[in-house]
Amino acid sequence: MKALITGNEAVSTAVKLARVEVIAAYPITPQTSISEKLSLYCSQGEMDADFIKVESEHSAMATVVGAASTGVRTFTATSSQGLALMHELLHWASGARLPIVMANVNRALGAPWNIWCDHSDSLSQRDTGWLQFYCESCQEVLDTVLIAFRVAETVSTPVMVMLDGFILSHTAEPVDIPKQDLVDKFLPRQEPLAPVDPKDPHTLHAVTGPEYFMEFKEKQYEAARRAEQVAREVSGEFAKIFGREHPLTEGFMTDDAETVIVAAGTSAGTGRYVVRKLREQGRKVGLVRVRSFRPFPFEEVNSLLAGAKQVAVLDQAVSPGSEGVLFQEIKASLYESAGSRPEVYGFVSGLGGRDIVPEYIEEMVEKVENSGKEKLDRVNWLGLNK
Amino acid sequence: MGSRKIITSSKELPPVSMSIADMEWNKTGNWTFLKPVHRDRLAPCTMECPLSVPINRFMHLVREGSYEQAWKLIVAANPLPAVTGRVCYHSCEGGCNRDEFDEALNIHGIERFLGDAAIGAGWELEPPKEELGGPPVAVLGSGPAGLGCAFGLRRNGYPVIVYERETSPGGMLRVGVPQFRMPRKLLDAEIARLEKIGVEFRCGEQIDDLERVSRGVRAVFLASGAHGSSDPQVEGADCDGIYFGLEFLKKYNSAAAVETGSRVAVVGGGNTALDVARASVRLGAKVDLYYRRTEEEMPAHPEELDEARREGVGFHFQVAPAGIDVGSNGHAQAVSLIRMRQGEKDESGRARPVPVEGSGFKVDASSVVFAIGEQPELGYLRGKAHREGNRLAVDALCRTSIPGVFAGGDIIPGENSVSHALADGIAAAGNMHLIFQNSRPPAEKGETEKPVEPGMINFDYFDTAPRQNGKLIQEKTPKGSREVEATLTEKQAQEESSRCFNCGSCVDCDTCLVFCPDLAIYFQGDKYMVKADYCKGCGICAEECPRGVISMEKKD
Repeated sequence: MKALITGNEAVSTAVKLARVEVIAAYPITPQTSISEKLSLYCSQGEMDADFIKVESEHSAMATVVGAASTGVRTFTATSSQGLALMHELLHWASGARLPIVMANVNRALGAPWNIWCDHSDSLSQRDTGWLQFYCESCQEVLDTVLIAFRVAETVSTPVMVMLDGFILSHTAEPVDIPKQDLVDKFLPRQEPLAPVDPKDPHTLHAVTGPEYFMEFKEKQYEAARRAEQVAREVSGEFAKIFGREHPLTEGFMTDDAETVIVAAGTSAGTGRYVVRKLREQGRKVGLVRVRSFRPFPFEEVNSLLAGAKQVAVLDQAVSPGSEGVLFQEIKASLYESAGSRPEVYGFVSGLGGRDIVPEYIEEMVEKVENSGKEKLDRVNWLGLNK
Repeated sequence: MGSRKIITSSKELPPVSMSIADMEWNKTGNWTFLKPVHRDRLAPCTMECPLSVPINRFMHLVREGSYEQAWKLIVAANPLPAVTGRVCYHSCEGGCNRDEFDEALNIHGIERFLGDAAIGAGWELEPPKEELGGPPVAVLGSGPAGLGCAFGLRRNGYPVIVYERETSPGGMLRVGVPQFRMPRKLLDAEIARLEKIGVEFRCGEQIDDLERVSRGVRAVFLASGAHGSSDPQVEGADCDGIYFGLEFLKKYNSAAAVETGSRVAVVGGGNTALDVARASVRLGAKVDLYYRRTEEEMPAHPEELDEARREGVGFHFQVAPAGIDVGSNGHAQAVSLIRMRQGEKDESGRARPVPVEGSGFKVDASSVVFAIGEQPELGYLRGKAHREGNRLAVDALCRTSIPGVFAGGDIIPGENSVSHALADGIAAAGNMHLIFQNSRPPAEKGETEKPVEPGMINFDYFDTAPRQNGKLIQEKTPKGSREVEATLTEKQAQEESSRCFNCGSCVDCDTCLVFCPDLAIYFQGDKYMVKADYCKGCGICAEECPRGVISMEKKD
């Protein structure tokens, strides 16, 4: 069945289909309509879940941490400052190996205050141990939330699903709503890693001394790395059941491309438009969309970029004092590349909701093809007001 | 359980960091020198109540719909809830912590609801566990003090004979309090309940000599009240149409007709004066009340003042009577009045009212009622007992200077109210019991327990809710003996009792149990217990307790 729904509605629909049992969320723009819809589902009996009202995002995460410890399926959603407020507990959730799924509707972090999209909120949480998937369409949002539960529960690691604030969250698109029985088949109940049983009491995650702490961190690291292969397999199974492919990375006209644009989220759509346009002019341009940022699919990225002469990375977040965040990741990945590596350039645009227009992407291609290394900066800003 | 296992290889590590066995070996209780103590504490309402009724506890039972149990908690301390629910001036509500939150609880309203429910359902007082037999205790007077004492004695199985000079028991409740404040069938029902547990009433017996009743008795309790009127010392006050307050009320409350004429002047500022004024309104008169001091100095209860005002009584403060104009028919025609001002303070600390020269004026009055204070009539003691002013001196055990003779109520010094009189009687009965049993009377109270303060109530657990009051059922010009305010409905009583914080009274709400991070609190039997081995003394339970039941105290 197809429905015309927004990205936020796609999240709520997926959460309902996943038969989540405990939801705790605190309102924040542009996430609010996700939790509003879910609370409505709960109050109207459309979902058999507890919607727990909390006083902050920190408490929202603490609540789902507690609930997930008992083995129930949990969900929360947030944005921007709310995600930042959860920071401490993001580490806790992943260290405790709890398969929580969270939607983060990307929004800039203040100051200055801003409610519009960029990726600084989720990329700031890069090292919290959460897996991160960036979506491009409302359909992909719905599908990714379902996939996220399966991956999270398989590797006992929490997953964040990103959708661009307003651009996806508040824009309606036709979305195919999967049938409940198919979702149930795709998402069977899984035993938690460490089930809580009142008859067999244990203290969980208490003080763990230097003699064992690293061992647990190593297990956590291995699980998050294993998630790459798991996510690939789960996406494959998803495609078999629902007929839609969601690879970890997506290459567009990269086979013979000399210049490749790298992007994440909805800007990839604009990128594809530019690629098509430039291809019509006979220029060898392609695009790589990074859908899975954590786990980072090194081999896939490297193979997609292997034939390129120059790579232009479009970042919607910058690490002050260093470079664009996605740019660093691509550059680091390419260092492992066999043979001759392409030149890699970093561009930053679209912060705080500034529209990424096709001209900016054309400017990127223009610059990396014609300016040469010496004329480009470590971070090249696109669309700055003069 | 409780074993300590040592991991020697990382292969033995569990999938997440967790204790291999349970943690019961880890007696975290030894980390602290503090322990939480659940203790029922004194509620401010109970402290303010002369009868120490456990209001904080019975409210919870009302909320649960256990009305009879709630009523039983009251009558363990006060045998006349339908009476006190109406005529007690509810000092309890003045202490209510809820006043700091929204509005004080309507405690007397719920007490009245339970009192009426008991009469409706025919609930009975517990008969004494054993009859002690032997000589009886003679109680002189069947007002609240006498009834309180008889009740207290019967609880312990002593035979009691109550002497009453009127034809029915009740004392001031019957002769003094007007029917529109205290319906007689309810008074009768509560007194009948005392008869059922064995109180013997001998009505119509005027005792003019103590000797008549004190022979062959175990003890005597004097509760003859204050029925003598004060001399107004006003010229012409011996003509027709002049009444004393209590005399007026006795007539009004009996079948006898009271002839007031169309304009009644009431002199006085106490509750008797207000009862007279309101009774006169019901007799169809235009009523004005004159008081020589200011409104703020009136001893009458402010709520009664408000009701009298609503019913159309005119109030004139700092005015005193100077004389009565007597008509040729020998009947009062008018009253001369003079304005007063506040003079120097007298021995009671109040400003002495001083006449303002040349301020005299006259108002027509077909009747003048002097309600300027009542005195005990103690002639039957033949001058034997020691006095304190015009009242009987008693010691801490309610004993007069005559051996074996106790006293309470309006004939002894102290506050004159129905509840204080009841409390005197109950206390005297308790003291007699100790003395009869040759037990040591309790030592003088040392430091008294402090009541639960508003700061000890966790307001976060409560929602504001409007106070439920009985519906007003009397119009502006009330007639007859109908009550002014209705008893709370069951729904109202439910809502109102739900407003109670139950200060200092555990209602098994589980808040402490739920919040304890160490699962060290559990419920056993009918109370919460704390596992001393595991309580870390964090104090979260004490902090969260909605009603101030838990305190952190030093471990032994």
